[in-house]
Amino acid sequence: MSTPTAIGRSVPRVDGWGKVSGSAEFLADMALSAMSYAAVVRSPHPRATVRELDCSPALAVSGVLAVLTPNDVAHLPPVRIFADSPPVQRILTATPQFAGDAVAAVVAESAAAAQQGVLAIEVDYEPLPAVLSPTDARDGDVQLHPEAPGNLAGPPINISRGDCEAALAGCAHVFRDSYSTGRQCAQTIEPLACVCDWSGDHLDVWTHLDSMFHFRDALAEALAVEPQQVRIHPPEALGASFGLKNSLIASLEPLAALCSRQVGRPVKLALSPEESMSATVTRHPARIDLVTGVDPEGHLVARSADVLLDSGAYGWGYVVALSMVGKWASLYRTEHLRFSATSVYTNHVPGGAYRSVGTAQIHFAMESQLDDIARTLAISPVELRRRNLSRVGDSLSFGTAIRSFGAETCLDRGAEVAGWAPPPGSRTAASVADGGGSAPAGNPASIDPSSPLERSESTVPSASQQLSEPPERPAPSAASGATTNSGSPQPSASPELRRPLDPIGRSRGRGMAMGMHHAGLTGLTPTPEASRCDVTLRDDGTVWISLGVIDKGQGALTTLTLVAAHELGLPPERIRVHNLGTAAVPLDFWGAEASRTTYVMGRAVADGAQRLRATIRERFGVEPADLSPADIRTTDGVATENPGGDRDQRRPGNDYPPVGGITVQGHFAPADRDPLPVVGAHFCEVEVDHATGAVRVLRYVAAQDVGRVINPLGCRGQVEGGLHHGIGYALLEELRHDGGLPLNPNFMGYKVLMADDMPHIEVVLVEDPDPDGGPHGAKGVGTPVIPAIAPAVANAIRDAIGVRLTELPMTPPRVLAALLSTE
Amino acid sequence: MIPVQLVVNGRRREVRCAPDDTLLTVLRDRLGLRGTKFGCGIGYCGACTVLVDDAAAHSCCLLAATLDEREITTIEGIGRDAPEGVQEAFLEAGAVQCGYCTPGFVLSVRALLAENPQPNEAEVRRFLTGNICRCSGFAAIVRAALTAGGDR
Repeated sequence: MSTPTAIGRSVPRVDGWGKVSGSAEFLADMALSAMSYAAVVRSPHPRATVRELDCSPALAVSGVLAVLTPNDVAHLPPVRIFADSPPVQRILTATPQFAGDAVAAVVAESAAAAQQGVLAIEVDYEPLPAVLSPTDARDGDVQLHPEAPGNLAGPPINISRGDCEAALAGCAHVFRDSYSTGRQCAQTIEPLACVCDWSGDHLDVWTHLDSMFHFRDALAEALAVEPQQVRIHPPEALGASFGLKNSLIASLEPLAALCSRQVGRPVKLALSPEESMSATVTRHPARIDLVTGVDPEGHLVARSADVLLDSGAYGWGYVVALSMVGKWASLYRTEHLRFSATSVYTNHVPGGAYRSVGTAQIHFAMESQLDDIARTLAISPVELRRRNLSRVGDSLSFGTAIRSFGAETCLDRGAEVAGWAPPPGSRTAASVADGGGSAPAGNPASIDPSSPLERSESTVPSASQQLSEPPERPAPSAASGATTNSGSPQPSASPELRRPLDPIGRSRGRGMAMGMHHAGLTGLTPTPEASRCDVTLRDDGTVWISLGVIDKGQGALTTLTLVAAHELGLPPERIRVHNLGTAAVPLDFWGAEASRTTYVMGRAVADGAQRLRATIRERFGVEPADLSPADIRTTDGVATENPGGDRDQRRPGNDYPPVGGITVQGHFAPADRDPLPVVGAHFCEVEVDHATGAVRVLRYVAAQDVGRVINPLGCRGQVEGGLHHGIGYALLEELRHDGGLPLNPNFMGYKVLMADDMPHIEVVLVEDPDPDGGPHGAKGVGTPVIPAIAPAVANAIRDAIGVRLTELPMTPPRVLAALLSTE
Repeated sequence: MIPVQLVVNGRRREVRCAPDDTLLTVLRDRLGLRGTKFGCGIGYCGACTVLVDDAAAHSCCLLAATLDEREITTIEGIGRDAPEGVQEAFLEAGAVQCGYCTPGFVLSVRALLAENPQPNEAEVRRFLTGNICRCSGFAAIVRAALTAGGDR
């Protein structure tokens, strides 16, 4: 091949100029002719019944065109927020289930008139007692949704291997700890918006989304129309997602669609920043109880986890728990496992997807506890993990054998770059010297790596079964020499380990943690994991790739351009990757969810590019790079497969695949039963101010196994950006409520890390290619970078102050309380 | 309505403003300059950053009627045909992801370099606390600013 390889070199993003010049059109900038505007009346109560709703004052407002009420949606089925979830949400409701739930909508000639209409509507609410704690939701008598007995947001998950209880009783050390995590908001800078145009029997939708076909089908179901009647169009540019737009939001797309049908004109519904934060979805808060038994050398013998997830009014904690268990069970070898998760509805803002679904929560718990285990056993935290890591050939939770697992390389490279050595005076100093040179151990004798986990329940059991008490914990037995790490929420203190303070009352500490997440959705959803794309050689010699992936900022278009350029032996400038909407591109159901783009669509693009190259060789007798446009024009290129589909011609600026040329289709569907495992090892140093409780992360080393780096520039950016969310999750990001009412739903109240809060970051990209992963062994990076972060920070704080924090976020008041608890 | 003379990207524009019209509203809705973004509306996120007489300002928090005869530079006013230095540095450093915050950051970095042509990393980070990027962790943006500064 004459052209140098296109992958592995840093390339600026292909859609960069529109973004740095301000010319890229976001939803906020989009306007259609005759467009009207909608605004939403939202419940000020976390739980209430609407006794009366008087629309007439709104209809009297100048410019108001229509008002929609719960009666206007009564004929429609409840909305299913995600594939497996019970359908419980109404597009507009007369029984609001959280403060912010949509009760009515106003359509007007201008956004200002719509807002005036919203203020004019008179709603008489009868407030009802709200169920705000997941424990109350699980154990109490109040039933929030008739369709969800026991307030269960999807079936409980109970999975086990071996005999956990018996094995724990025989362990040298048993650790019992409880953790809880916060309600993190995606807080995209672009507030959510959509434009809907329901004209005749077709609905055109431009919205903030991760996946077009998933949205198309969900929207069709919500509106009781056929999927073919709905055309989803990606905006030119999307103000990120981080999972926020992983699924439909009932009061966004379905509501705007109904508004458009009502007034017979296009409707734009743009949420305020406050609505985007407090009335859409957030990360699911979790309560996690872990019991872990180890042998004297620190090998994990038995582990149990009991998880209670707050799904809010309409969330899907079931999927969150499903995502948790695979990684919790597979990162480390353990013979005896028991995992139990329940997700319940409450009267809080719904839970939804957020970068690193489930694994962010469970890793905070398990990696914090491992740190305590290492301290207690005087083994270095690196060595403890090395001894227990899963290996190639071990089984993932649904039975796929691990083909590639760069965990140990991440540990080694990360530790090396971080200069990881226990700080002077640490209890672990001696053991590092001892353990550092020892060979990777593991406990292979006790594991059958080919045995997948057993799922004992896959459907919703009766309420009585599922409301049973969590299994009784075995009492710490003196005979077993059990170490009990306080099952209480009080932080455990070891003041003797506190680091010395500097002259202004600060101490430093170091921490590390590992993280595992998945790329792709294989085995996690009923709709199979697969991607297709059309690859066309145009008569001008360029290659256009038409596909359904969304570039929400992660750089998918650039990555896929490089993959195609590499396979075709063409310079990237001759490749054009574009998404023209559901009506024009091959099916790609899951779009840009779950770090699947590089892996699944990357393989489809590579497949299509290889097919096109073979076709060109066969037809023209030359390599694509040696083909001149004149050759193509004089040869009657006939499409081998027509991408078909109707083309939406109304929007200016859309480009269309050429008529003629040569088109082939690329395809990939993983043959595995599990999603691709992706791991990382993170190391950080923090400084804690003992007077204020403020924590600053000074330095951060993130070693991530990405399989194969396609574009180093994009890959590094994904890790660095992930750290902003992960450290924010650890230290300060939380949407707080009082009595079910949001306290900080805006940029002033919901703090995120700013440029001068971020640490010095060192990104270590490890390449341990998966032979049946993405192109050239690539895995995924955007999501898998998250899970290790919060526990790495927590472990560094523990090192700095001698106290374990078990609650996220670790805000200054919580750190201060922990410090005071030891005095 | 209050008549106001603004010099926007070097061109004199007369607009009639309501007393509570923000500069952001005037730029986006009256003058059609949609590269300036609405993010938080309360002066925290910096997506609406423009230059007012070469200083970075949150246009969502400025009343247009108070800006008579002031010079306003928006993202449309720089690098009209090809990327200028700061834009080039952003592209090369990978400082652009979703792009919604990018125009605001580009203008903030321009303002920084106008008053401190060769800032160090700490100065860059401190100066950029009026802008939020949720995608990049700020790292590549800081690198871009340092590169752009070094090039001058």
